[in-house]
Amino acid sequence: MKIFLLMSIFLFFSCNQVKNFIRDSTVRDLEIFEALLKANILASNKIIILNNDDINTGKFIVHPPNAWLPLIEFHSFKKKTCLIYKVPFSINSKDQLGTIALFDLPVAGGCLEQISQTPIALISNTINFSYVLSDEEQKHSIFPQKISAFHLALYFERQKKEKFILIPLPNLKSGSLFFGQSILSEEIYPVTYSKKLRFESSSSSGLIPGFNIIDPNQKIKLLGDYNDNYSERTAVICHDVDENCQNISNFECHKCKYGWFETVRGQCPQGGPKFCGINHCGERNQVACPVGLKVIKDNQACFNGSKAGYCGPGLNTVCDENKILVCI
Amino acid sequence: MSVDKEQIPPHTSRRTKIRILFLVMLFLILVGIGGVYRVFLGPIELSDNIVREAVFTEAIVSVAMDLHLLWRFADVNDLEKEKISECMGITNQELKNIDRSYFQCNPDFFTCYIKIKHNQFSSTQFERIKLTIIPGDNSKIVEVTSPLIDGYPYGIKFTLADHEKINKSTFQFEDSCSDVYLPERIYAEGPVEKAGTVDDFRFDNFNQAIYVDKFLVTFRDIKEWIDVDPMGSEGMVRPEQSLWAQPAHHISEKKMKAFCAFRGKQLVDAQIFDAMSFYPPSLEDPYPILNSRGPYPWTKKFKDSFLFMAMHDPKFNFQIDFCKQVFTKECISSGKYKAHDRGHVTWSGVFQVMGGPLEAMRNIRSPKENLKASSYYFLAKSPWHQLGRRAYWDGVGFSDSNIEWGNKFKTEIQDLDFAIAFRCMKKNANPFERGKVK
Repeated sequence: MKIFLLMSIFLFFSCNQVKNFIRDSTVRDLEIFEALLKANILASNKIIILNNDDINTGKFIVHPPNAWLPLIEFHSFKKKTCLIYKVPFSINSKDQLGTIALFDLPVAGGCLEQISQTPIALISNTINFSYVLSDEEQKHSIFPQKISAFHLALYFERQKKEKFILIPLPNLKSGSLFFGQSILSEEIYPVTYSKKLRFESSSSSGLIPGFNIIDPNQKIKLLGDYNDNYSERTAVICHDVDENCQNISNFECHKCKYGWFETVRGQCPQGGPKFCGINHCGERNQVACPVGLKVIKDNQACFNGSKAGYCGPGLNTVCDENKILVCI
Repeated sequence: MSVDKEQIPPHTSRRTKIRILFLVMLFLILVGIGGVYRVFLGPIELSDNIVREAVFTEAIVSVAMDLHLLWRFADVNDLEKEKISECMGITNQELKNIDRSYFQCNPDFFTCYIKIKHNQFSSTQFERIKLTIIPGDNSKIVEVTSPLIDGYPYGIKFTLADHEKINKSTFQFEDSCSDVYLPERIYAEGPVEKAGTVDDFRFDNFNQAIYVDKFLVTFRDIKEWIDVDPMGSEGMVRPEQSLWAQPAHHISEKKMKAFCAFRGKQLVDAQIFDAMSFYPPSLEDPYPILNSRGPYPWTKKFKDSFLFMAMHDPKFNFQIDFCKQVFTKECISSGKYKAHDRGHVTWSGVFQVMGGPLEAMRNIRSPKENLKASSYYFLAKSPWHQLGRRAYWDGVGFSDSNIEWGNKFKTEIQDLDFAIAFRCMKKNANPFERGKVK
């Protein structure tokens, strides 16, 4: 009898421990998921929003039921990952609830193709999921606080408990949030996008202006040389714009080693063609300096005597063979 | 010999059953515990390493963010400031004549801070995780970055790691202190005398993001350039430590341009200098029909200024307190020109545009007006102390024969050697805004 009693007590504690393990493991699951998410996306320097309809709405994602939805791609210099959400079939069904997962994204292949792979992080049995990521502050009633810019916020419920995850993304810059399909090539857009206010500095804008997590092994190839100049036709063009104000090439002037200068081909909103190098505008045989878009109101194209550019004393504006205003 | 079952005593059979039951239950419990261990404890042990790595990542980024605040604001207590200054070779006496802004985004300050902290850091959230900055390829713990050196914007980079150097990340801090955005507007170049004449020149910078240095280039900047870019700075003499905080001078125009290029910038244009210093008629209207060209950068009500009174009031008495606003010739006897002087500021957030040393700039339209003349070479009553009034410098030497003052204003100068300082500016691009001119 005593042995039976002892064994019952022993069995009771064992079951209790098992129950604790199960409960702790639930909390542990969430901790692990959050930790893995943070570790893998904290250094992201580019974000691609794959689902424009459900992000930043403050509403729970309920459609399409039981479907996998790719949400966001995170790019850092080390890796690319993809956050995907499986929408619950119904919040009342116990076995087809939602799942939030983070997958590695290979060089070739989209987000959805990864769901058959082993995720980096996964949390299942979720309902009432909503998420936010923006370059502006967000306020939604379901979130317990305002979401600052450049923060990923996830809200969901699991086993009748609410969970709120907030992850800062200090390596994101203004202009590194893209909306659309997955873009796998690098350097589509320049990094130095910024909409500036008075007194702001030229450093990259983001959660922390001028703060960058970088790849120590990355070698950045810059364009141009110190002695390059337009008159000798040695200057490297870093952004080309035609007379109809169409961009002929991507803007790459942030890669110029010695800065860059703008020329006048017409009164284009994006400016004229731009070259890497020291600015000698206004000097003899060099490009004319742009006067600006509003002071000269006519849409003047490149022609001799054009007032869209200005030169040093004794020099006049002339439209050269490249249809660029120069000073002669 | 077989045993008749009826001959086995009943208590013996019960004892055997209990033993069997006990063994079965023990077996089940052990299996259960083993199962629990495999299913739960096993993954938890594995996940501890994953969580550990994630915690380290977060700790490293958290410390880096704290260090960035230090880089950006140089906000230290007095004791730390004393130790850092000592490390930077600045005496307590000299410290009184250096504005705090000098230490912001200053690689020397940052390196000295690391030294006084014995290169040990931890964040408030993860106090037990001790981090250290490990040397880079050239064995320096903090390296200067520049478009010319490694392609990064000018600033610093360093690698933060745990003590085992297993978890580490490299950070680059841009110089987010030194320049300021010039808002998109229509501007005018030249002093008030030019308004309404053929020499009147108006221009705009819509869709051109232009940034002007807030302060004059210092000798510390030059020293760093010499150390980091020996080829580009060839011929330059390394300045003495006692001068580092002061505006750099006795540098040829060619070398001024080369220094600005090292920083990914260019020598400031006179047009841009005027744009950032003339107080606009209305800050809300970026398309003024007329541009105001007030004489002083800090106000439109110029008649209240001591400089106006000095010029027009025969009973004007100069007071030494005026030196805090503009450092004119009268101020030389009171002491040195304050490093990173913030006595006056323009509407756009730029300092040191009047008084102090002469300042060189590039002037395409009027190459003979490339030298800001308002300086400590002239008394407060001098007509040179007005925005837009410039002399000519040949860009080569620093004596009176290298400067042409012109005939417009009475210029009585006895100095034989002139300090000519400079600042840089740069353009960034804003491709997403292009095509959105209102």
